[in-house]
Amino acid sequence: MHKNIMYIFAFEILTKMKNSQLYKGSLNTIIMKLLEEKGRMYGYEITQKVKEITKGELNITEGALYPALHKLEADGLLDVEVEKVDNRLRKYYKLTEKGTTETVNRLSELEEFIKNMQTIVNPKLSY
Amino acid sequence: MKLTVEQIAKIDETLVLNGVVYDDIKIEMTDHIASDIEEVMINQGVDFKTALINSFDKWGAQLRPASNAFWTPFWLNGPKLFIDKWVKESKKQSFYWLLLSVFVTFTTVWIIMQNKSNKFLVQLEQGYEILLLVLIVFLFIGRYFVYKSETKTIFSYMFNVNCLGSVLILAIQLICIEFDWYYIFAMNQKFTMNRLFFNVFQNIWYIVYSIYSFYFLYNHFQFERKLSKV
Repeated sequence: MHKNIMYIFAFEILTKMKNSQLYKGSLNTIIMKLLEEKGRMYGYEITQKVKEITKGELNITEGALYPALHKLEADGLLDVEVEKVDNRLRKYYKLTEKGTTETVNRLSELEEFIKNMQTIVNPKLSY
Repeated sequence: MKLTVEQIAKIDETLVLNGVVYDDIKIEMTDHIASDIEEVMINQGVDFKTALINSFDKWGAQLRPASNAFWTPFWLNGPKLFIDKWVKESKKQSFYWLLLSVFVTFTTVWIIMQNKSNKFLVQLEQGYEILLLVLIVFLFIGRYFVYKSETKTIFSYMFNVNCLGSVLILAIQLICIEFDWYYIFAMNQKFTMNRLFFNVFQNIWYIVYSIYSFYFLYNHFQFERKLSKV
């Protein structure tokens, strides 16, 4: 009985992942993690980098990326630099001091979440 | 393969035709679409026009005309991404607007309750009139600088809308107080708490609304400052 409940729960998690709900919830953390690694990035570069890392599994849409970036900027977690590149202006995003601290917190929160999910999806039952 | 100045201008023009006229959004979209086109032209070997159409298709949902009857002015419509940003800012504004109004009202009512003398209330009202006047002047100055500004952002538009409403409300208030048509701190009323609280709140509400306009102004010029460094 206990095992059955676990399977149902695991199925629900997987279904949600397929609908990208879990990814959506982690979008800000993904962006902040990338910026922590790369220093500064522009919007298109972020979408391509995520596609490259996840081998095309995760596709960040324009409609989700820019509102997320603007919110992080408004919250003071990102700073913007504008530069002229290849005949056009480009907005580069980078983490602020507050953003760097927040990234560490959010990443540890996410790691804890993943660990808990793994425990639930693959429980070590003792009976 | 890098796009030419003419090709970038074509992207800009298409964005404007789709209602994206604000620089803070347009700059980012132009760069995103141009980067996408460059990659598609290299990887798929298609020409600029085909790549442009494909790239704009990806933005289809965001460029769809939209409006919001509650959070935006009734006359406002535009691409979804513009309306979404406006709605988000309006919600944020309403939250702080309400929070600050309640806080300032409680503080003012508390101060009045500490000193109910007529002399003090007259001084308070004079101070309030000066505040109204200063706000109106600063709103006009802000409006002038926005008018002179070469950049057009969502924040400059939000400031213009807020400024118009604010100046009207503040000017009417000022005239009413000046001609004694209306008593801001319930001066010659009996001091019922409800009446006083309501009177103060409705006035503070307008003041906070006007002051919030300067937040839009600040964001607009912050963006312009970043652009000026290029």
